[in-house]
Amino acid sequence: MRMKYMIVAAAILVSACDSQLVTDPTAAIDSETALTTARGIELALNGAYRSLQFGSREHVAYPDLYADNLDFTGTFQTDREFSLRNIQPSNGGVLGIWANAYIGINRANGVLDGIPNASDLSSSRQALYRGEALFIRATHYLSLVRWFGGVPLVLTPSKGVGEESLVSRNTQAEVYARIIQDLEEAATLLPAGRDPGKATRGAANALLARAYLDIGNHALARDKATSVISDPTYSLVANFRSLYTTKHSSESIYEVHFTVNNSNSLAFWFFPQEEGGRWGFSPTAEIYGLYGPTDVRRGASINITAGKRYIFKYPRIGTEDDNLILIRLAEMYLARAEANAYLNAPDATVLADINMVRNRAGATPVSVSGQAALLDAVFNERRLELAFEGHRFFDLRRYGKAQEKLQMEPNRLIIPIPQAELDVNENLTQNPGY
Amino acid sequence: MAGAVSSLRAETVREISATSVNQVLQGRLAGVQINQNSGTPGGATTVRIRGSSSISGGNDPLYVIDGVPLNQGNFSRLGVAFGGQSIDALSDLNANEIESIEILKDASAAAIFGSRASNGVVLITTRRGTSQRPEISFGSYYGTQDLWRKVDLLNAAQYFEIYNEGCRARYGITYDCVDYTGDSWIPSAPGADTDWVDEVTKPAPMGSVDASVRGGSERVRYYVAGSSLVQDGVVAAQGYRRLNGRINLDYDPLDRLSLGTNVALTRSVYDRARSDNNIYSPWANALANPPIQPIYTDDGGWFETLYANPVGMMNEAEAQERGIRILGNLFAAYTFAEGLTGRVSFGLDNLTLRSRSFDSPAFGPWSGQGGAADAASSFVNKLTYEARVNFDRTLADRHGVSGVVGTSFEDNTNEGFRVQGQQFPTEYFKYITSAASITSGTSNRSDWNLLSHFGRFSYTFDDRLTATFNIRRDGSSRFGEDNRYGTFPSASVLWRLSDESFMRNQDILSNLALRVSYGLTGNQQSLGNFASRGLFSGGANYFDQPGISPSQLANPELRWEKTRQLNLGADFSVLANRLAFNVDYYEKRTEDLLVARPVPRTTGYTSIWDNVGEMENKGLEVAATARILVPEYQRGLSWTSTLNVSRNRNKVTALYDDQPIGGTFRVEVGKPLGFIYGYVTDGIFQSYAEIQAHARQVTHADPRRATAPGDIRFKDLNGDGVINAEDREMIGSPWPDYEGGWTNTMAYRGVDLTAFVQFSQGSDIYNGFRVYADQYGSWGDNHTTRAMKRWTPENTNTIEPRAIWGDPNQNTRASTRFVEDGSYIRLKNVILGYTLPADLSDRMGVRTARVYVQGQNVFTRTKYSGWDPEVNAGGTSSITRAWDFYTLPQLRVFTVGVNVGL
Repeated sequence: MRMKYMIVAAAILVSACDSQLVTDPTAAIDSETALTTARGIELALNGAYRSLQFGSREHVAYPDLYADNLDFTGTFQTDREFSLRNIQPSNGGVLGIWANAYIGINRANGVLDGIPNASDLSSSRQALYRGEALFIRATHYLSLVRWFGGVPLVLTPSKGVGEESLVSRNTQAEVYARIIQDLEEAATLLPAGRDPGKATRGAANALLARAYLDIGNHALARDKATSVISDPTYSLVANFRSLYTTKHSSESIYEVHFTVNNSNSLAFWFFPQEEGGRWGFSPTAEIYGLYGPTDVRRGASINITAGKRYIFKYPRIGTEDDNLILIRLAEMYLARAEANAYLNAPDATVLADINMVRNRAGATPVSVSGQAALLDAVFNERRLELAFEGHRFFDLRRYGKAQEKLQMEPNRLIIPIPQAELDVNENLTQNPGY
Repeated sequence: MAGAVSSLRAETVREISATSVNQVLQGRLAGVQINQNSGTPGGATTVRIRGSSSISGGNDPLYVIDGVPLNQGNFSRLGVAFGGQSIDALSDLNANEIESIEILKDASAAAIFGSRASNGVVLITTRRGTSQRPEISFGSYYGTQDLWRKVDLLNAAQYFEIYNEGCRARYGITYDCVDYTGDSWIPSAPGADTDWVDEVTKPAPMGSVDASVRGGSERVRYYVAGSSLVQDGVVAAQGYRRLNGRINLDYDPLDRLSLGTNVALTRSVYDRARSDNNIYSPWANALANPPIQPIYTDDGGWFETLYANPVGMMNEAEAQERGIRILGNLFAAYTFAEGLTGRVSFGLDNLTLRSRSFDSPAFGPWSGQGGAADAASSFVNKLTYEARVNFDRTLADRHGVSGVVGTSFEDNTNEGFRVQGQQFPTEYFKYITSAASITSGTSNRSDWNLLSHFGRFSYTFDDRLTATFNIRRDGSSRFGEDNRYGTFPSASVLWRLSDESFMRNQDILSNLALRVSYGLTGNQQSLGNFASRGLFSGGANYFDQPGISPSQLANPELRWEKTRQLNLGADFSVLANRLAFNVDYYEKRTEDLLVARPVPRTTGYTSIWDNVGEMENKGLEVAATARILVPEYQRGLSWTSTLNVSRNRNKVTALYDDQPIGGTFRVEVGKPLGFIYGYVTDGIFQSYAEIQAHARQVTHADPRRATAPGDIRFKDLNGDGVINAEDREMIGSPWPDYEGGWTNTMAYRGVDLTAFVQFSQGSDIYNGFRVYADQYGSWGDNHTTRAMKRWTPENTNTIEPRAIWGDPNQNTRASTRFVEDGSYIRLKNVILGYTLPADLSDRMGVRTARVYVQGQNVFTRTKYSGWDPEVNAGGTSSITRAWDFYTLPQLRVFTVGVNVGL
């Protein structure tokens, strides 16, 4: 009898076995198998597109806040440092720009790396997906190189955090070269025409025009801009305001798509408290005063409630699903005008592109001559047309006007490498002056 | 028991009207540091037994009630920002039901809970029935809570003075930028001078009723208890209500077989408000809003204040969580033979938390989206099975052998959902069914299991010498296949010297015992369930199409965090046991620290779970109990005084590649965990000559945007002529030099008086509130009256900087300016009671009757300038602790109560 109990007790003791120690996640799959099928690549590509949504607030606000289009009216120390043009390496916004871009780059790299291994992926899909992933990666690198200067070029997906992850910085020229190489390849792989929210040949060419302008290759900038302008897919919308109230308009070349279930907080950050927002930033009196009396862009870009000027290009405060226009046709006209001015094209050629943009906005046409005056005209037009779309500081810097206009030290023309990144990677160097 | 154990008996537990178990424990036991994170009703506490032994593996002790490990922590899925002020499943326990609490501090005592014992174990035993006639107890108290101090903030006139000075300094203007007119930079209303703190807080009542019956017969014993607690918030939007019921039953159907069950039910309701620095928090905004703004507009609406109108937020925003908790176990014990018993038990801890929040379409953070609501639920379930065999024999009269072998299995599930909706018709529609837009919906589930085998063997020689050996082997599903198991042995020796013959002839020491223990314990508390696996997660959707994205790097090497602990203890007493001491010295060394180690972001990841680094805690604990007056000798007057003091030295001794972690609250090799890191101030610049002579601080072509006289001089610590991030150092530590509690209990005839003093010496607090509040003349926040001592050309002998809009010199950067001494001594609890004489209570037909008055946080002495030195805006964070960031302070509470026994 006693033995029987002992046996029962012993049985209970050993009954709990090892297999009960295996549990599986319900919202994730193992990374080894994630990218081995066509479906996996498709899903991961969507995940890579998703990365273009990251940091939309900073994308819109910081280039204008770090310059002269936005005043700081919020509470975040990180934003304030941008507005004071006195950014500390510990600034969380800086880390955000850096980290978000590399998250997107790793996602794109995963797709690029996985495409050849996905057995059931047709060759046409292989080409399309590769083009899309290259476009996404190049977009992130363009953001990085503009803010930080040369950054590490990471071109394969991360598998671990060994020595190979302690990357060093490439030069600015190397980064631009890679961006251009990726976009040129993408342009050959991507389809022409419009596919809302997805990368297209036009989008790759448009981004190329921007990149060539950055590095001073004006001939290629002009050619790329022309190829987009002459593409019948794109046309300037008649009503400037409709750019921001209608998604994927005919003018939009690449637009990051947001939905109610996958929203951003752009309008929330920009609208004043009276309108249910937070009013973290306010358009400066200077830019507000620059628009001519007939120019519809002022009212379409800046609104006023209770004496507070606020960004009005992202108006869907109720649903917070404003799309982020990454690049649009008006920029191509102005890019071509800028390139042509550098290339000493006839005044009329340059003015035609500028006035194309001005006429649409109901502004009086400009008429100046000479390279310097033409460049100034493009520069001014870019400020009015592309306010709060992620351009202002980069324009000032490209024109060599940032230091004087913004009263800033030359070292501040690029922002610091995040301190947190330097802390974990001894191979990275800080930008001078930080 | 040869281990380091502190215990608290029933009387102590029940005599104070505490709302939670942790409140009972606070300050009473050496080496047990308990801090309420804030004065939030039902809010969480931070408990550290012998310091922190982990960076991100979790530092909370394991709570075990009647043998069942508890679900601990915050299971809320609500998407509202409560800052560090989370709710805590431990709040569900009713202190009145507790018979005793034991705290297992060292490796040997805690070893039987091996895997999770690194942070100590809190063993709670509830009351049980007795084989007597029924004993009925009834208790009730009622009290009121209020702020115990007010930090002085500016009134309207002072506000105008400073802000106009600030605008002039920055913009060179001559007019008033801030006034009662319509073009004031900060909108105002004529004559407004609002004391927002007064408007947002009011004394709040709290009360409790509880009743219990216990009794039984020879074979059946029962304990039945029920209670109700209501605690309103001083910020009216907050509150906490709880109903508890418990049945503990023991039944011996056979002489050798006993069965038992414990069932406890709890219903808790938390009314919550945004907390800490959230810009929609009523309390935070009461501190931050300008006094020149009124509460209401002329037509009775909420005035659009600088930060969301705090009175408006208090009235318009709703957040409520309702928990139902079922906690119970079933057990059977069988005696096979004299000294040999087997016991099987099955335990359940099931928590359902239903949560909702609503923000009005008419006002508040979501007014732009037509209002917003959340509906969420969490279902947290822990099943435990345990089987063990105990043996206990004495051989040849003096060789005692005892032990236990057993196994246990724990099955954990955390499941839940959350739905969010926006666009509500009006503020009367508060549930998502009326929302025009469902903005998000999530539903998920995650499981983890723990399988353990354990054994303890103990040998006692002649009651003088006891040696114990423990071993436990734990397998956790959280680790990869090859590292699932950890083995945790420990041993201890107790030598009762006073029983040795050579000690019998002395009469100084009435008791003397020496203890030594050494052993290993483990930790995996805060580890994610699948932390070792390389994962792609869903949810990376784009344009309404599903997407996946890499979410976690694999680390198949991930393994248990381990702590080795040495404990040397002595228990001795003198004067016929009237003065007793317990002294313990310990050294805890934790290795294989579980850390979500930051990795280069260029990988596309933020961190990887890894075993890196080491940490040590060394400490000394002294507890003394003096029975100063003993009733037998003092005509019924008794006076017992107990004092506990502990000192813990925490030091991080290794990290991955010696890389520091964190910002203002930092982890660095050779420094205590979570030390405060920042610039060092060096007075105020009095002239441009002084600025020129100093390292470059903030320069600008526009002198109004550069460092100027009246700004703070920061030390150039590395002497490179530039003040930058390299000029930061350790400027404070969250760890006290020593802390403790002192309790005096006196009784004379029917009168009893207990006074409990808590103290903490030498810790620092980073007063983050001042980073905004003491930014003189900038951005519109109200200031503390410290601002009136600011630098002006006429008032140069000061440490407070000038007023300037925008703070170009960044006078508010994290620096010694905001590090304050967090030491305090506090009359935490004082109770004066009167028990009716037996003849009187007999005549009234009751067994006992006692009335009492109680005060909590009655008196506090501290140099800390904030609202309360006992503060933690960092919530459950191991690293961010000594942080005050608009945190609701501890409250002063006065209650009257009655206890009646029938």
